[in-house]
Amino acid sequence: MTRLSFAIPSKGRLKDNTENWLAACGFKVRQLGGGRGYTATLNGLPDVDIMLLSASEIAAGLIAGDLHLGVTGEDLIHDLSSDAERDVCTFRRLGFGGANVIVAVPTSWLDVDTMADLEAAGAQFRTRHGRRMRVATKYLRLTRRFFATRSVGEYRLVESAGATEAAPAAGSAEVIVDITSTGATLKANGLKILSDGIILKSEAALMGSRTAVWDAEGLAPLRVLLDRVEARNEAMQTQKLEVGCEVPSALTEELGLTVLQSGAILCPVKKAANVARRLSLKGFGPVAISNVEHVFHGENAMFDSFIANLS
Amino acid sequence: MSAMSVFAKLGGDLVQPDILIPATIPLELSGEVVRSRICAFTDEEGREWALRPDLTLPVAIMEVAARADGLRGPATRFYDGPVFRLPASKDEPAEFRQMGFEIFGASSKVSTDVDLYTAICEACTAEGVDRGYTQLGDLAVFPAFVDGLGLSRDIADGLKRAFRQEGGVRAFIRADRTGAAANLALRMSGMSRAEIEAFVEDIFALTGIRPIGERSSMEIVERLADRAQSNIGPELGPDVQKLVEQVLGVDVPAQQAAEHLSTLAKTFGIQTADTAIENLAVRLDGLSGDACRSFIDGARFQTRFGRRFTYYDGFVFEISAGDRPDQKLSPFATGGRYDGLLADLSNGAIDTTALGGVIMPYRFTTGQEAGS
Repeated sequence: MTRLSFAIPSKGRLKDNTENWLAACGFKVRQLGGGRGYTATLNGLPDVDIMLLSASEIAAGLIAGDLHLGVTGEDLIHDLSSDAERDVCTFRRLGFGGANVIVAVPTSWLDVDTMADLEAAGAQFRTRHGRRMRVATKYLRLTRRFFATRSVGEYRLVESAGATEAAPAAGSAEVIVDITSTGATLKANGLKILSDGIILKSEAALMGSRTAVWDAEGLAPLRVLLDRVEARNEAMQTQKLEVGCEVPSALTEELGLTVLQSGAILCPVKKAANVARRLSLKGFGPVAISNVEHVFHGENAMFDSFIANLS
Repeated sequence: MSAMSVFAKLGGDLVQPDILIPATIPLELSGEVVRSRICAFTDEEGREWALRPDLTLPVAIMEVAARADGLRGPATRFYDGPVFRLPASKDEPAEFRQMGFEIFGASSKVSTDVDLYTAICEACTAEGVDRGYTQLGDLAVFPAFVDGLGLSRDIADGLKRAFRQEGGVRAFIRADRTGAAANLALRMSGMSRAEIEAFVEDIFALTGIRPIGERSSMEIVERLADRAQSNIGPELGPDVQKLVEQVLGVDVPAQQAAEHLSTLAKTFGIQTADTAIENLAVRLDGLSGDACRSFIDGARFQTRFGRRFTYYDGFVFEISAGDRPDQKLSPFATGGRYDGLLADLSNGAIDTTALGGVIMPYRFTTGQEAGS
């Protein structure tokens, strides 16, 4: 039997956002050994080993099957795995840590705006300089795959550990593939993003390893966790309408609403105000709208499809 | 009689090139596509090394050195040793043996192609494999057709490069040729080189953009000028697309290849492909001798065959067990012509014809299914 291992980011905004999200789902992270410890517990889920790791360690651990569950960036999963769909299941994108992995060239390259332009510039570069144009990146696989699908072959990869955006000015590469959220750093370094050069729109996500060993001891707390995640997720998209008198079921069905009990109805956030107004005009008012914290259902399709696909 | 004695009869030298080569050589030659197959590592100083992925490359490197030291004329090198490639599927070995030879500086082209293929067939026979299915190609055919399309140099060169990429030609033809750079080039149509240069300098001055890195503003001007030129030339119209797709799609019994391509050339008014087509016919005649018959019978020709053998640029072939193309067995012998490689390896200092072939004995016995 294998205890469920769940890794979360160990530092920075990613860590804070992950802890806030877990708290909203009803789990508080308690770091063992104070702020510097690398293990933690989740109150409400005693049967889980929580680890604090770097985002790339989490991605590598999920792919290798050393971790069951983790919060990390999609960019890292797609770069480190040769087949992300096979290795990892994305349960929920979490709405933070958003950034794009992009191809950027010097702004002075007036002749290059698309990947096709870059291909031609690369061929010319090889003729003029007797070597291939260099692309600096930490995303080796992602870059290789993207360039291949765009039929760009005239380049060499240079692995870059940090400050990739400085590589062209420093002369260690001509082109970069990097992650950016605003593009401001690129601009400051005299670079522009190619118009068709967005490789991946990435955000932080809750992911499960398909390569890890899963048995009852791991799946039981996974179900608890995913139920709470889904309850929170649904609550974010749902509001509660409290109605002065009972609404006939024909009308709630027509409006696509879920009746909780007499006078309390669940409604998607997007149409809540409209529905409330209509109900009040039809004489069911007053109607009050309020936010809900969690919405639990008996079944969990996300969990079911995950275990159905485990080999 | 063994394969090696067949090769020795060709009158060359037995060579034992380095197993370890700088990784930058295969990566510069073939690009990142080969990285996933190359056994490479990084030393303490950060230099990347590779175990030789074939013997052709290290033998060609030796030849460049010998010719830089003054060697002239034709030379044949033969060899027997291990090569290393990371397996693409789990039944492939990471290390396997290649026996083969390379001929450098031979003058006559088609007859040396025939000699190459004949010696490989004899070597297979000597090792006890007396028949096989041959897939033929010639990487000079597609470029020869492109030359006759009357396209601007920019587009023609792009099309030839696209030919060597998986799915490249279709992507190239369909590529969206709009965008900021295309618009700029469009505005430069009809300008002289000096005017384009002044235009670019004005843009830099007005926007405060400064060139960074090793690619100079002259290179930017040159690309813009090439593109401005291509705006005036003929487009990649439907006729061009149709011809390109038909030439690329040729996949016929080898004895029909020349006639088939010749009909295409006539239909579309292409006059630049005659030599390439003639070569196919003459070569196939030569390949039909007694030593080769049990290998060449049933052979097929494909225009696109071998386009991803990165440094090959002419005649290419593979021989595999079985007698039908749809059996997809891994080839036990392969070879071809790579006249441009020595120039590439020496930055143009050495320019000599080159071709060679190998047999891979482990595939005689396994006859495994390829790339499943």
